[in-house]
Amino acid sequence: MLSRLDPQRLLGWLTVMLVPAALYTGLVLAPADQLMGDVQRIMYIHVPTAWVGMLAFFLVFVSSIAYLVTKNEVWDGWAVSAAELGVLFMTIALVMGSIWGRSTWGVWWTWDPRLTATAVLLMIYFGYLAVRAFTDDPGHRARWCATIGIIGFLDVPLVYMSVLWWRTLHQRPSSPETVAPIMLAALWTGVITFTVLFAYLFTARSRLASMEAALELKELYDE
Amino acid sequence: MSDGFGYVVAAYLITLAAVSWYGVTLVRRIRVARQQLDHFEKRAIDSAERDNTERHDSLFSGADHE
Repeated sequence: MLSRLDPQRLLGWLTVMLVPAALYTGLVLAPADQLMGDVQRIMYIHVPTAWVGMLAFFLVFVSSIAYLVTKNEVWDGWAVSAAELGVLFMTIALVMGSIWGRSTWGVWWTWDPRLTATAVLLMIYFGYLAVRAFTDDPGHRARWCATIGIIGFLDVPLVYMSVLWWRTLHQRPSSPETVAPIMLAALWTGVITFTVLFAYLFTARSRLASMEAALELKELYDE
Repeated sequence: MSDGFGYVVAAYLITLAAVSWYGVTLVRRIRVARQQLDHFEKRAIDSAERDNTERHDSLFSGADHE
């Protein structure tokens, strides 16, 4: 009975329950926006995935510092797990923004500061994953990636502040006072759903990271 | 429903497809890693058993000679 209540399984079931709630609040319960119409519903994915992407990159940053300080491989495993998920969710956020932009701005892409800073952020973490894939020595790989994870995170505040520091096409962050409560409820349901989904995938991915580390040790020992 | 609903459906389907693809790939990677770890473990057990058998044989053959 206790084994059935392990955190990963619990997160998995929570995700299964939350996804229909997010779909219902985003597609049915919340009304279409008065000016943008139905296309505004993309925000219920775009905002939560962007939030989860930034959370993931923050986790890479913290884990990378922890690895460099302690040299404990668990932190390296956490960093790569968070980086992979960060790339996944930030790519989804960028694609959602692009679809919304096509309908609202009339273009799929524009070199707006927010969009450009986000594209640079994605490039940095694609680079992080490439360095991991092409470096054989585990010690070097962990150290180099930790360095990229720390320096790369400098772009995250830039992405967030870009809409405040420059005149951009991308809108500024909405405050709860300017959003209708029903739309805010849909947005929060999306944020909670994607955060729980992230936590679930993160526990699974970090388990894989520890298995890969064990395998690498065994292979080294075999040689 | 407004014209934008097609974009909404496409957006939700793309998200679902991307997350499902990642999830399925992750499960497959975990399964492969587990199989490889099991393989190493089995090989280590086999090797230990072989060593034991060899040690046992040489011990008893030594006793016979004496």
